Amino acid sequence: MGPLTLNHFLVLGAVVFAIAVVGIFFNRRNIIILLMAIELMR
Amino acid sequence: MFEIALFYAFAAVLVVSAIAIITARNPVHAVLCMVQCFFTTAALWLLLRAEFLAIVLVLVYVGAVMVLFLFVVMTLDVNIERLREDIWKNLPLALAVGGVMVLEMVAVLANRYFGASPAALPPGYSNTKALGRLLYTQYVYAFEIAGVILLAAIVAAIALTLRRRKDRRRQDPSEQVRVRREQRVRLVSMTAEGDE
Repeated sequence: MGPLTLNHFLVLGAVVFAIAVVGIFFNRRNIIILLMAIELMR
Repeated sequence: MFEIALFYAFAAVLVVSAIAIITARNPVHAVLCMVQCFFTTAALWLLLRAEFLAIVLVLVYVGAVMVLFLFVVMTLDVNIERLREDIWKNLPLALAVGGVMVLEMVAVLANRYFGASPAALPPGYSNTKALGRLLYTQYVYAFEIAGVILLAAIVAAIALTLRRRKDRRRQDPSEQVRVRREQRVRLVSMTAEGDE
């Protein structure tokens, strides 16, 4: 496990960003979910 | 070791609720999942010792932005079933793009050494003070430009939604000032009765 490093947070951020990108492709018809996916990318 | 356990717990909650956002059938559920996402993110930022940003995240995003989203979602009453009929068609492309992005970012992060632990801070160190000092000295121009842009956005939004009602009676001071004698008094030349 090791100590808590900055890398942990960066990889987690990358995963959440990718979930948001998947969400944008996933919900093309629903503009509200799409906006929330964009908010998730912040 | 306790921090590691906390980090993985919060990360699991964050990822699960993020997936729940993009797959929720009901938009209201999606908004609530997003609120949970922001709370978890705030907890993670507290682990990074960024307490000011964590509090601002909860206050601004959860308190203002997500409540606004919730209002919009609840008032719009979208027809969900029609929106979701051909959703699975996009799934392979979405998963491919997402997987490639994760791999790329992990590769970039693993390539260079970002492994530094958060530095031990001296006692009495204030995150808020450090952020404010940086914001008002080094980045003051960017900060003020952002403020002007937001002001322009406020004015534009008000101007776009302003509608003048025709059915209401009101005074127009400039017209009242510019009034002339001919508009008020009309001299009519007519013969008096019984004078013929």
